[in-house]
Amino acid sequence: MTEADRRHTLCCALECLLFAGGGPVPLRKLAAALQCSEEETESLLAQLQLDYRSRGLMVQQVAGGYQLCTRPEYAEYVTRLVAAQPEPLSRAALETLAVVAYRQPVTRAEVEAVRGARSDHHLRRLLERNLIREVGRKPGPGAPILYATTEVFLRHFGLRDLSDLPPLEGRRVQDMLGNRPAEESEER
Amino acid sequence: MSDARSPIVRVAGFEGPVQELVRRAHAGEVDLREVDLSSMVRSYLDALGPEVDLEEATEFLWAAAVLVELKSKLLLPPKPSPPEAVGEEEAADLEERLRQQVEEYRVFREAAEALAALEAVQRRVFTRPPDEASAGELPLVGLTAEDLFAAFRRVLERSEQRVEEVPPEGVTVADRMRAILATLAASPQGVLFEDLFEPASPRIVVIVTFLALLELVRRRRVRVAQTEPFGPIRLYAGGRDG
Repeated sequence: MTEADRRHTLCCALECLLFAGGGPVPLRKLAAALQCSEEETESLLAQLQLDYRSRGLMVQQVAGGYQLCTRPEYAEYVTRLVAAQPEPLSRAALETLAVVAYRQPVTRAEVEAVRGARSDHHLRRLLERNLIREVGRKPGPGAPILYATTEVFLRHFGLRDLSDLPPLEGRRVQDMLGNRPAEESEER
Repeated sequence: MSDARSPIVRVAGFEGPVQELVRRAHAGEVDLREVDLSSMVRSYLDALGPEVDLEEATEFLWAAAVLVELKSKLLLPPKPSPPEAVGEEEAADLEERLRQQVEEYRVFREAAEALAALEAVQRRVFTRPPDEASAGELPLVGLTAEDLFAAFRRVLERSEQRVEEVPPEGVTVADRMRAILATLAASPQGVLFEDLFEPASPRIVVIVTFLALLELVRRRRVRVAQTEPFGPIRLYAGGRDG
């Protein structure tokens, strides 16, 4: 088998993996399934992205992995077949979520201090939609619950990871994030 | 409105069109504290004939109102500072803190707008559902929701024989969901339905735990399987979240 054949085979296999995976698949898992290095897998992903340029599907880097998904310009066709995505978030919910995203881990009181408005209802709705989760309690009086964003959050906004959040007034997101608690085992 | 229509008034230190009095008062050339505005108004009203020139009367009324306002500002002490007598430095500090808070909120509002834009794009992007065959169906294998409910009733009856007690802390569905996921994550071989409920659990905990389980099944984070009729019901950590 020539090198070109081998690469072609791996590229097709990669396409299958992304299709079968459905959602975002971490690079590490893709490389393990292809039995090749992560570097080569990345190069194969780039090749696949090129191959898909003129197609309805695309390869998206989201939530710490890669996923095969439809291009947004064909959404009207897709929604005639499958149910549309859940309702977009309200302005107030987005504000609440923005504070959690950039300030995490954060307490309800801290969110409300920024927004200057009660936010418990919005936090509850965001919890229900799995966009945020409780990650522990802040030491101190009352030990208030700390909230952080989830993997669903990254998928919802098409973000690779938290550093992919839109910059806030030119400040790098990494500089603004507090110390993130270690990921809990329940999140995959 | 021209000064020609402006009524002539006569007060201490001034005689002329009322408009001119307003101008001079504004300019500080006339000390309104020395001017008896009420007698000015009274003499105007006294001089009014049966035929009232509305334009002129309006002009006078407006001018009189301005003069009263100006005079009241002169007579009344300056606007009281906040009652707690905040020091000037403290007030400046408070103002600065308020300014910062408004600024901070503005930044996050912009961030929310940026997120809204990302959401609008991503809502138009679809991935393949995780399991097409069972999409839309609950991950119940070999049993129905009724079977699950019957099993729940058995557990509930078991707990009913216990004396009611108030759980030490408020138990929430979210808490129980986390507990179930933690239990299942630790047992890849699955967990017996009955084992989800500690024998000593108060009824409220049993009910909330069952609600949490239903929610997890709905979200496809827990699979429920019964390999034979009336056999044990086992729970497994499910596929994808969301």
